[in-house]
Amino acid sequence: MISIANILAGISTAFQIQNILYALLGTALGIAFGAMPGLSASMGVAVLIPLSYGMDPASGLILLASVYCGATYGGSISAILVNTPGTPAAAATAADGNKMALHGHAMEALTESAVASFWGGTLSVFALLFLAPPLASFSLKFGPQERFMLAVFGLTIIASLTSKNIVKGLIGGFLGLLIGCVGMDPKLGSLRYTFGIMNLYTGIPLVPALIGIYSISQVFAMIKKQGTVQVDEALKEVNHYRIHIRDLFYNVKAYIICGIVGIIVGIIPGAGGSIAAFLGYDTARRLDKHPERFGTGYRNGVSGPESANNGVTGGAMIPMLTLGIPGNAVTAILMGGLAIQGLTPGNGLFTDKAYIIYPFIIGLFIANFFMLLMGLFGSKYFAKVNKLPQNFLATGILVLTVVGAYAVHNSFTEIYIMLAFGMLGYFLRSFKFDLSPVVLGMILGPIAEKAMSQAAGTSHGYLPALASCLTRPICIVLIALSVVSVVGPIWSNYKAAKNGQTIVEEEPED
Amino acid sequence: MFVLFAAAFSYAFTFKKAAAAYPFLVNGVGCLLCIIYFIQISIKEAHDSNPPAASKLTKKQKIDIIATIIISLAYVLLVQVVGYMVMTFLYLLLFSYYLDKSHKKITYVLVALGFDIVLYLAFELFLHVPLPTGFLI
Repeated sequence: MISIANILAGISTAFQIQNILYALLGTALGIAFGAMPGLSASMGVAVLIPLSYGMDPASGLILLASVYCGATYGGSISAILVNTPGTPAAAATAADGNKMALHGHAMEALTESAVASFWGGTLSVFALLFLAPPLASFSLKFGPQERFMLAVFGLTIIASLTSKNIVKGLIGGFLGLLIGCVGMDPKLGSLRYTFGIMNLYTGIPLVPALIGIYSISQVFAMIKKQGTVQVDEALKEVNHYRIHIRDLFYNVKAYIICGIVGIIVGIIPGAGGSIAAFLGYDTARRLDKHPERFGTGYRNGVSGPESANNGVTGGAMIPMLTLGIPGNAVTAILMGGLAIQGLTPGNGLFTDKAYIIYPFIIGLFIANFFMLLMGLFGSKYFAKVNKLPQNFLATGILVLTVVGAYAVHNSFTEIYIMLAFGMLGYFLRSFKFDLSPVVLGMILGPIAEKAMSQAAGTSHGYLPALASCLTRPICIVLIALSVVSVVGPIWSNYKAAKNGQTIVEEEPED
Repeated sequence: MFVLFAAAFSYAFTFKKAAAAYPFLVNGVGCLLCIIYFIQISIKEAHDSNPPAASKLTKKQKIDIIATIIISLAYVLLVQVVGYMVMTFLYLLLFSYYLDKSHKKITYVLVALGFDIVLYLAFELFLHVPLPTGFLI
């Protein structure tokens, strides 16, 4: 039951000066964490939990939630500027965002990212405030079959991402699925492709692999290109862009719909920001009048993923606050923050502890607002990163990625994994393979296999489990969406070929 | 890529039967896709009277890439022995100079030192995220 009195009291508490300052500090720290490859929202929240011990409960939670919000946006900054997603969820933003930066539109990309993140984050706050209980019960309907089909649907986005050469995209996707096989199989726990290396028993660690495949390969590309004039010429455009009010409403339809996609994905435990971001990208593409421009440095290609991945922030908190089921790793850590303050998830949070939870939720909105301001007014300065001499930038990125890979588990093996993936990423780029399908395969493959193993366990076999997907309404919807997702680009290419239009194969930027 | 999928497919025979099913599927489809792609490319090249010239790396670019790989590996190995802060300073100083010698020498020293100080302040002091150490910091 929504209590207007509690919401008003929450607004009054959240807007106290110390809580506003905590929201500002948390957002700034979160953006810094998110922008640095290897650091993440989870790490930012985990590092700052001890800080929240001695604080007022509402203030402590506002600080932690602000870090989460800022970090989710912050990942897009490095994704856009140096094609190095700061967080896995920003990988989809790099597809168009970095191309925009290379064409001299870095500030537009950063502006779009901030605005889209604000819309997605704000929508998710409203969802959290008004829809928490009914949406939480929706998440309980997601069983293994639904999670499997969601992962399959996510994989079919490969066809959209690489519509100019779907076969090549699928090869990349299956390479990602192969990488996802490394480690213990989910059913028997027997080891696959570990070659006796203990650090691989739990699979390829995602964060070092992503840092390597994007950042290190980007460093190689920068070193290969360094000394060329094109980059400097393009960057002259950076300082000419002026932010206008209309930037806040540039692509409202995509912001709202992709934000809702993010909220729904966030509610599903285990789905995460990466899936939401790629689904958001695909959704924005389908909504757009010019889907063929996606992947070429198109501003609308930034709207979808950023709105979706910030939509996850509130969505993931819905099952966490109402059912005690964390929507993702960050909310799992946030639950620790709740426990420290003596709070137990459930209906009681919204009644007996309303004086803590409602300020926390309103505080998220304040954090989103600060994120927008920092993003809009900071973009001019963030964009200057590209003006740094390439030799310093390349070596600086490499140094940061080493500490980023090490910081995840304090392990040198993960640094070597990062370097190996860097070489893999460079090799793929050299042969004009897009990295996004590989990353999608790496993230979604293990989710799909685990879900199918669980479904096979309950249905007594893989075939019965697959058959049961056809009897579950949510699975049927996801199957239909998957079919559309694959057939759509193939049909578009066929029509274009029939009309005599040349399909130019999109080559990944070097 | 075909070789990779084929090798992974054959290696999957060493796994337990239930655990091997998924790798067989992934690698099998991967091999098939590679064959389809190869056929696609062959047909395209057969019809294309003016195939685009493959982009080639210059000798300097090849040397730079190989040097980057070797120096970066050496940097990571030595970080474990010497320590992150010292090796980072040396790496930033020497490798950025190797890549581009056009700046004043003092610039390289200041950039390396500044970067090191900021990293130390941010990670060790503020965030309490431990940096790798060896016999030095």
